[in-house]
Amino acid sequence: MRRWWLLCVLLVVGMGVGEAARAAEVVIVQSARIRPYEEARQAFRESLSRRPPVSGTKTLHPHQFTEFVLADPGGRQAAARFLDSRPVDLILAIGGKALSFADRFREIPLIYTMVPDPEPRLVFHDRAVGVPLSVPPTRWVEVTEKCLPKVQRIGVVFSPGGTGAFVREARALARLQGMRIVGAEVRSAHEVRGRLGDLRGRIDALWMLPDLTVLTPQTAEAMLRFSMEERVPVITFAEKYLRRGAMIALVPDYARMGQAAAVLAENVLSDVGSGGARSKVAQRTRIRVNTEVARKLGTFLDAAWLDGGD
Amino acid sequence: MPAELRGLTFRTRVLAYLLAFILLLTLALGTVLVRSQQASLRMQFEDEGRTLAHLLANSVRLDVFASDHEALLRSVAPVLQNRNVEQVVVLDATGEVLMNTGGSHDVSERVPVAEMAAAGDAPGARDPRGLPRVVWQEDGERIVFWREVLDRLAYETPEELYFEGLGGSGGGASVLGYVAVVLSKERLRRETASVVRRMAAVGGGFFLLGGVLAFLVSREAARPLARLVEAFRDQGITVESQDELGALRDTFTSLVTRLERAFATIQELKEGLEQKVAERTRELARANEELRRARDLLEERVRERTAQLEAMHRHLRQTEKLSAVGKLAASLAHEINNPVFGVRNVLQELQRKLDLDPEDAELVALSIEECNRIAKLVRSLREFNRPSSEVPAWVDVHSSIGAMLTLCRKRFSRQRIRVETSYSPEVGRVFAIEDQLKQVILNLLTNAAEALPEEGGTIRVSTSASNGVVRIRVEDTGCGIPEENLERIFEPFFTTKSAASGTGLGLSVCYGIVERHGGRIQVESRVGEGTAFTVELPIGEEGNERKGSAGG
Ligand SMILES: Nc1ncnc2c1ncn2[C@@H]1O[C@H](COP(=O)(O)OP(=O)(O)OP(=O)(O)O)[C@@H](O)[C@H]1O
Ligand SMILES: [Mg+2]
Repeated sequence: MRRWWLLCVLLVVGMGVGEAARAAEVVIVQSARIRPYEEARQAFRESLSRRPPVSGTKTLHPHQFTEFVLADPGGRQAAARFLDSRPVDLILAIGGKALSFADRFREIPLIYTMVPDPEPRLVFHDRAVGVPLSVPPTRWVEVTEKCLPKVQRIGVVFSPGGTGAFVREARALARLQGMRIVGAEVRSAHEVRGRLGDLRGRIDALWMLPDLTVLTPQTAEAMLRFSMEERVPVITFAEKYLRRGAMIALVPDYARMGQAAAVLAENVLSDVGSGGARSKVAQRTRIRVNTEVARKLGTFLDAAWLDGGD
Repeated sequence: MPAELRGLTFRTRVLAYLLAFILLLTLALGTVLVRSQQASLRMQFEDEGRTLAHLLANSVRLDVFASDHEALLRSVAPVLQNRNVEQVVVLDATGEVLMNTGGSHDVSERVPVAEMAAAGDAPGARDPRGLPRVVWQEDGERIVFWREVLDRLAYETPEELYFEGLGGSGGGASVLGYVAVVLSKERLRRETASVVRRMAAVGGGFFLLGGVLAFLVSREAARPLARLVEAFRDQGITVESQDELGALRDTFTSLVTRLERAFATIQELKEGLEQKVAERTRELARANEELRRARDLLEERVRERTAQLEAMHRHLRQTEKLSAVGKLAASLAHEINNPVFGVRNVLQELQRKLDLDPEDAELVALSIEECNRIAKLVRSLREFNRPSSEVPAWVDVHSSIGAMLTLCRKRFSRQRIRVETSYSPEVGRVFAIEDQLKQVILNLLTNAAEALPEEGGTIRVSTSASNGVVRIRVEDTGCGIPEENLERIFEPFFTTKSAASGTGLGLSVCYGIVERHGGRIQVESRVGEGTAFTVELPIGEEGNERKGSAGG
């Protein structure tokens, strides 16, 4: 009688060990320890853990997460060592540097998020999927139209290589809304100041777009100074400019980006492939407003719209 | 005291000292104040230059980046408002002059590029607030404060457009140009000079005021002295010299001498007194010592007496106990005696009249023997407390001892016992009942022999006399008596021997006899070494009898 019990216990334990080996091993590589990245990572982990893989018929096994931050001392080496030595089912890269780093491990399925420019960073890897950090032109046009209903002419300084396509698309969309985009094309940051001078008196609002050619610390300051001198509100893409005098910032929802990455990860892990995605997380933009600047510039802000929707 | 001052009056001297002191003080204080003022002015001046250089370098970043001359002029204008600023020069990174507010001095030739770079690179060379260092060049007329115009020229990755705090490599700012703020030292010099002038004025005033005060103080200070000299003059002491202090000193010296003499006399008197006190103390100590000794002696005597009393008390108790037991024994003996005799007579009759077979005859003989033993026991019991029926008479002690020794000789020789005697010639006769005395001696000798082992030993009999008492001492080298038994050996029936050989009455009988004679019996013993019994008997009615018979 005793023996039978023992056998049963051994059987259960043995099964447990066997099943545990089938839980997915996920490595999260993060560029730096900044708040937006942390938010995305948290959301990714939570949402992937909430839907753990179904393995076998009766037991559920949580995923194994291992996290590395490249900017930490020794973080890069530790991550490399880990990835070289362990069978990993999936890498999540948060941030551009993390993506460049993870790109080297081409055998391991790769997912990225919070990366503004994923294509140039993917040199070796051909199956990577991810959530780029960007806000589409429709959203820019919509927010400008809804928030600042009095604005007719939108100024934008762009470079053809960087944001040319974006401006082209936006121009068409703006026309539909009855607005006009006054573009100033530059080929280097040194020209920005001059071209801004040209826009003087010809625009009601200024878009500050994420364009490496156009935007430097000096040109950002020049734009913000222009906004102050000309009493023209600046609509930007990052919270850090909001502090320094921009009026509205269109900020992606970092947690949503993490969740979107989790959906991709789930697809990859369950071998559905990126083609047959089960579901998609709609991206969301949060609108941050520096009311102090709005008050000082005397700009009319549609507060009702701001409170009502996203 | 300087020689020139010596002849002057006290008041003049005080005044001179005070004035000299005030002058020195004024000079020292003035110097210190002027120095510290100069230092703080200089510090202010440097701080101003540094601050201006920093502010300017930060505010012209954009203008330098864009090489915008007009904007530069606008940015620099407020700095030129500062009266110390003589000239401001802005250069670009290649050293080319972007803006010069004009001035006699051409600074663009001497840009301290290396120094500024070194200040920026070296760890710790930077300001604790993380600012780049300001380098300055100084000549006789002006100081030039140099500072780099620094800024990041571009972002390296698109992330940096979005977020701050990414760390990594792209942190370094590049040099866009240089600013030079030229401060003229003219005003610094003017202000220093005015400080010195003001200090001189204040010092002069201070000195004058001090002089007046010193004058007043010296007058006040000299007044009591003058009164003292006056008092001396009134007393007829001549104070001659112009120098009142000198005169006072002489008078004072003579007074002091007299005082010293007086003190010496007092000292002598005091010493005499001290000697007397010391003597008295010694005497007292002696008396104390004697008292203490007397006390010790007394205590000693009290102790002795107490011991004697205690011994007597013990003895009394013992005597009472033994006499009570003795009386009981004697009356018992009387009661037993008659029946025993009756029984014995019957037995003897039986023995005589009956023709018994040998076995029965032996039994009867044994019974008679036992009856005799009982009779003997009873006799000795009665002896213990027998009222002396016999009359005491003069008995020769030595011959009594001799008779008993003769009686025991056979037994002693059988047991190989050596007998030693040592008779004192002073011992003669005692007034006693002879039989009883012999009984005592016999008992003691018997006990001694019984205490000795089979191999034999020594018995020593000695006599001595003193103070009307004769002592007979019987010693043996036998087994000795254990401490715990010493108290009880005089009790009737106390014995350590087997029932056949001892009755325990021997010593108690001795005790009774000696008591009745007004004497004492004592025992000393050590286990394993031997025992000594001493019998003390008073010589008798006439104390002088002993002397008379001593010779015979
Ligand atoms: N000289 C001695 N040496 C050692 N023990 C002694 C001596 N004299 C007396 N004693 C002790 O004292 C006890 C009492 O003595 P005592 O003479 O009274 O009785 P006893 O000798 O035992 O009997 P008895 O009646 O035959 O004399 C003895 O039993 C013995 O133990
Ligand atoms: Mg005896």
